[in-house]
Amino acid sequence: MAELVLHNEVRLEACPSELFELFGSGDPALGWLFGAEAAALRPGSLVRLALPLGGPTRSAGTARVLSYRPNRRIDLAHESPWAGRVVCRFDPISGGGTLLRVRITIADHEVARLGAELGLLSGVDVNAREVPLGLLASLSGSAGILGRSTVNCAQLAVEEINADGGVMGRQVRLIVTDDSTDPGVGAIAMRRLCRIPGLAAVVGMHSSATYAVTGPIAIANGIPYLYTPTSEPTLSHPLLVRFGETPLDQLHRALPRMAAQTGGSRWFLAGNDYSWPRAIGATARAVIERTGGTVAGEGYLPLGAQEFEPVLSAIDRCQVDHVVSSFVGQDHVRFEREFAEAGLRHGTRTFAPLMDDAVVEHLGESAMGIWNALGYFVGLDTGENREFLRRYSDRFGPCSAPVSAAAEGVYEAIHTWARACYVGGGVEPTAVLSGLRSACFQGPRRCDRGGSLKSLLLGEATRSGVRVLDELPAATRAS
Amino acid sequence: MTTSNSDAIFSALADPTRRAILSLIGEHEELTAGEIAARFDAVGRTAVSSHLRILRLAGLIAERRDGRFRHYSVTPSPADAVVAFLTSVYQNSLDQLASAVQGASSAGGTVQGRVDEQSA
Repeated sequence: MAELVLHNEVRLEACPSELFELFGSGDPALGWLFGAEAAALRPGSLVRLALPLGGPTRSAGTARVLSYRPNRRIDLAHESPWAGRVVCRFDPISGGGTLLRVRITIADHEVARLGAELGLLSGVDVNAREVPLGLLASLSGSAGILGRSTVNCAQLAVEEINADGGVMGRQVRLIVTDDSTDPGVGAIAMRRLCRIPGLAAVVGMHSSATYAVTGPIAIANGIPYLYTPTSEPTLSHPLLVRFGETPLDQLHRALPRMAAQTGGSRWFLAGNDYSWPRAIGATARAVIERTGGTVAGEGYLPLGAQEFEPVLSAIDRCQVDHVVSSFVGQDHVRFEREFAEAGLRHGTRTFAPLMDDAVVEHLGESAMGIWNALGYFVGLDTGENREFLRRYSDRFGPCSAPVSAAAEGVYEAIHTWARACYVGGGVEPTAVLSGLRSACFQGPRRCDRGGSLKSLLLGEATRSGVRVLDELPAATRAS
Repeated sequence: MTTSNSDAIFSALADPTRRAILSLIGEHEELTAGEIAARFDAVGRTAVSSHLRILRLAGLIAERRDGRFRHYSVTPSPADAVVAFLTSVYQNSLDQLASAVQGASSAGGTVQGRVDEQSA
């Protein structure tokens, strides 16, 4: 694979061991690379970056430690907003000081993707024998910190389909693009995808705020749009196919279960201020009031919020037993951390409809005890899931971004799409949409034909990831 | 590519609104300032003009005047701009490290960037 290699170096008066110690401290004054936040320095551990890319929601990124030698070398996989390899070498200078050398390797296709997203490079060249499949995902912005495993899972699905002969005898070409967790950027990215000749479908893993503007673009271009995250039912059109859990799926059994466990009845609803968290709030209120509980307060903050204090003190004042927290991405991480630091975890229980294994990794200790109900958690103890996790680890290595529920949803949606092409007898929209009605992929999730969920898993955040507590029927199947 | 050019490209691209404007222009052969401003309601026309000026000074877009209209297009040699942007993002982190550990006034930290293209 062709790649771009960048070299940066700096001569510093400090000795190698002093500089090595500084890495991962989380002090932004040290620059985004050395001032990154690393909970631990061991292979596979997460490094949270704050890149100087402007705007509070656009600067979060992630990397992962691949290996290190104390005082000599740190080897990182940069995961988001772009993928690359970063090797830092600490060489002592005779007479004192350190020559710090940083070597960055970025694959050409990743440079091309960034260029296309900045409007600098023209679109992709697709071979006419290939079937282009778009992935619109959040790789930067607030939700970008969870983006790498989504791209990995999409890539894994496409490679498996291709190894199996492709769709209708043609190889699938995955084209990844980023909405930056911003509907305006998402619209530009979606239009760019739709101009690719022969584009078969777009798989979307991004906020419903983006979906509200990208959905109509897909419809106008006649492109099937497979939308995978947990989301509220909004736009309705034959070309728009939703795979994710609805608010009712997630809340209707889990919230009463939580109240029964705590014996409490008072709830606070908090989240980012756009359609999905508002839909979670409205559904939660209906479920809580139907089961005899009380909503004592609500608080919503814009995406990329800097100040969570008003909501935290409102929660404290309201003396609630439970919190439904529907913040997104980096906001979710910051809110739950500040919530735990304020001591609010004691005496309350949180249900967070986006909490999954990847979010727990970012939250660390402050996630403990949070509940959620989703179609998938990594801890799902089935043969299909163990096999899926083994293939993921074989493909991306033991130090790769761990699978998240959201990413696994993309994996299943792409496989279901390939089955739909086979069942429908073609890759064109009419064939795919008719095939989707009966296509069934036997993946880790409990799905019916067309990818609709049969049941959800109730999970609780623990030190070893999300522990599966129970399996709950999906709302549409509930009596 | 000179360091000052790299810095100008980095400063230009480090702003999300300017990235969005550049991306929008890249979608078209040419756009007028008015057409660009119309897509960025929230930003305001004066601010859009100033963003366009910064992008033009960084060499990322070209301006063509036609009567009272100014037309903007993305300039060629864009691959260099992506490379310059990425180099600066990493270089920026080492600059900050140097000034944090040695004091902002110290000249002890010298930062150098170099680029190779290779096939592996």
